[in-house]
Amino acid sequence: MLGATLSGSAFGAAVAGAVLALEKAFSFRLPGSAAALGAGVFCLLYGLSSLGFLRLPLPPQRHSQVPHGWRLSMTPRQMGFWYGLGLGVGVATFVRVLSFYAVLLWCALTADPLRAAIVMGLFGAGRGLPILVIASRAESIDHSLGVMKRLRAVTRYVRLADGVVMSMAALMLIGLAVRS
Amino acid sequence: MAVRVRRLPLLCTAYVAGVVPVLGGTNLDGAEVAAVAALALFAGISSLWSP
Repeated sequence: MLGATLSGSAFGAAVAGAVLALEKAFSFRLPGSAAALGAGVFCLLYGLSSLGFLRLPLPPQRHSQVPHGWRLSMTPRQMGFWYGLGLGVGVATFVRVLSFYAVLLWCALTADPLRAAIVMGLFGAGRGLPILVIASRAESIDHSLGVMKRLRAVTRYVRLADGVVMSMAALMLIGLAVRS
Repeated sequence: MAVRVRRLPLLCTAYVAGVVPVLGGTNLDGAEVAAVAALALFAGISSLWSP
């Protein structure tokens, strides 16, 4: 079941990345430098927000999770795959991590579906991997809950790390805009 | 396990901090993709902290 979750997550994300890039390939093309500059400014502002220097609302997104009813209506393997798919696509569920948007922007800016699929596939794999690791090492439900509690305790540091990463993504995108 | 969990964000940041500027700053064709790949992996793993 856990392997199905991981593969579903990576597959869903890869499809989402390819679709984003295809949309760019067949749509009206902004000058690359202007689009990359806009994406860079977006990442810079949200990076500063994550670091606590600005107060910005989260980008618009669906405030929903993978349907709980799937646990009752599907076999464990089916449920694992579809659960992973829902998570991996990213935009179908609530994502608090802002660096996800830097990845989405890059995929939307590139007109290369294969590259976008690989990059988003890594996002999906990364999203499924911790679940796989935690679940495979869990000795009991209580043990899993204990791990989740310890993870929640470091949320503040994850937000700061997210801000640092967004700022670096901003520098990279602005650098690309300047070079192109 | 507790120690490892506490170190995870730091390790992720150090990883991306090392990879993104170095690869993204070069003019190699694949470097940009590698930098964004590192970013994507970080975003995926840290999505664990989404509700």
